[in-house]
Amino acid sequence: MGRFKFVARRLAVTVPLLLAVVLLVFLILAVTPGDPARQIVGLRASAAELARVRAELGLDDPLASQYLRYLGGLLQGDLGFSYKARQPVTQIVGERLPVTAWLLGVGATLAVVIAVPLAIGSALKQRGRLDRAVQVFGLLALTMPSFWVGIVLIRTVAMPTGWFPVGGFGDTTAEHLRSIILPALTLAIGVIPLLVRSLRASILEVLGSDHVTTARAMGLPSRTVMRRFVLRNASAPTISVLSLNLGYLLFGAVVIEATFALPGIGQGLVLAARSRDLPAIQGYALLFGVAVVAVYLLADIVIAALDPRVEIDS
Amino acid sequence: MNNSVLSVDQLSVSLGSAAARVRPLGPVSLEVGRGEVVGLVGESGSGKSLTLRAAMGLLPAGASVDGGLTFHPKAGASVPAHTARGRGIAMVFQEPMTALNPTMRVGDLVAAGVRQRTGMGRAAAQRQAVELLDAVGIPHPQRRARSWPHELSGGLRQRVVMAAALATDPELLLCDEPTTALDVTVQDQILQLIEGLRRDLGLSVLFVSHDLAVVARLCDRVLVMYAGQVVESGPAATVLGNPGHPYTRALLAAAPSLGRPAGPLVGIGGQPPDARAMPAGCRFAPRCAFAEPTCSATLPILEGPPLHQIACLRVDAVAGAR
Repeated sequence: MGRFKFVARRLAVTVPLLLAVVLLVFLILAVTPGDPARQIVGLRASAAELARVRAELGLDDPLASQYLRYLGGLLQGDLGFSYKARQPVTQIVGERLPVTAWLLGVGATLAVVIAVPLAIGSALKQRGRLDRAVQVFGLLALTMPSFWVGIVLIRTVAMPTGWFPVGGFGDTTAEHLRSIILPALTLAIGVIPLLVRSLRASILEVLGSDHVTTARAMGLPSRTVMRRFVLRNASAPTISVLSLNLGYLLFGAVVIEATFALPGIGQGLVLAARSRDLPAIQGYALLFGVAVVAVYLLADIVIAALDPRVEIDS
Repeated sequence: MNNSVLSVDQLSVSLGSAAARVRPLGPVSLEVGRGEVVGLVGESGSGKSLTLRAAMGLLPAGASVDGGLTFHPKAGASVPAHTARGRGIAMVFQEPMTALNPTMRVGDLVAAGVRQRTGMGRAAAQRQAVELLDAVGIPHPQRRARSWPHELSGGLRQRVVMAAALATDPELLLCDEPTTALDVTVQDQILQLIEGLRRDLGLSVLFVSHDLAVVARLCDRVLVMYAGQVVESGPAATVLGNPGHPYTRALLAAAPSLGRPAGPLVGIGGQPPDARAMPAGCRFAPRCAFAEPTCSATLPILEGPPLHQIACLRVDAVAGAR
């Protein structure tokens, strides 16, 4: 089976890609002006004190061996140590990761669940009422900044009904879910127009293809035709759009976490940047980079699973 | 006619926007008898494929249909043809390379047809699908059922298209140039397959083609179409052996033949009329060697004995010129 070969090859490419990400992230710290040891010991410390800390941190070693040590730490799940927070970076990032994972997971799910029926509906009745409404809504949604959408949702949904908290993440899974719905919806509103537009165009293209005519000529029910003949062939470009928009989603998450006071990665990154906590920034940057690589890989695997011709085309 | 399986009565099809409405087809009337193979020949744009698509209710959006297309099943009442797609009428397409869903195993496609018609369970439908793939002459059907379309040759794909059509247990098979995209040896195999199905299953076939040799071999009866109308109809041997319409004669003369001594290829001068500006009289008159002034004024209708009808005002002159 060609597709397994494709996935294996794709995985093999991912390894050097990840190493490159790690190298870039490592260089952030290495080329940033300012001496981490000086930050630790303070401005008044003596030269001998500074030299002692530099030696302790291994800062006098050649860059290559520092990199190898960093890489070795990563393999054991050690992202370094934040002197500002007096915590291992792994712990700082680890506490915040679930919040953002929830936000992105629920947000992407909501986006797909809302976008797919809208795209089907507007493609089936081109220039119909739904199609026009979707186009207008899409333009509006693209121009509305996410912090504003978030505030509107808080004022018009969370506060009057009391169904959703206006901020925070809660402690139990049920509370997590309740507090993530509105932020996730805010995130989804930003991506839905892109997904609908891409999926609608693909559906229209596939609807006109010969194999859909074959299916109709066989008298297959229109649900079957839509699911097995149209959507499956139309979904690959949209999956690409979704994965390529991950950067936008991560950026959106930073803003949305601030709006909804969610203790996630985005907020953590802002905090770390404000306090010049370089090891923490490095940890976040690495996480973002790995997330992007992982999502692209996942998207390629999903597309390969949907389309048996992938290996031939690549 | 109660031994017809399909009646097409005064069918016309209009296409395009309200501002630029054209009527590329019609009015056309024809019958397909039970167990009969009827050929529909003519050059591109003559309305052959449009007739089939109208019967299936698979015209492009914005098309409108006038006239009746009625399917007469062996058991039960007659119904509009388009309601019988997958329930008595099946269709085979021209392009086997694109007619199959690239993301569906060919066995699943055939099984979907079986399930649609019989309501059979998944596993039983799969077994039936393998039998159908075997019936259309696909080697190793069990293994081939698991293949994706891109793994098959054009000939095998066309057999899969046939199996998918047969999966719905049709009485009438509409064939839209099913051999045009195939090379000659494969073409011959597909024709043999259709002949076999007709013989073994008593299928009725409406076969659209521009290939006169294929039609001569396969069909009992032939209808010649020109610019959206039937200009001649009759038994295949008569129409192709003793054509009565100037267009049919020109078409036969234009077909290169291995049997004839090599000479210059004879074309038909001029172009078929534009559907936006159909001539008022005979639509072939501008290209016709026999045309007289009356031809451009009066639209001829099919006339003559029921077995061989010709729509030509100059039919006697054409017969005399032989």
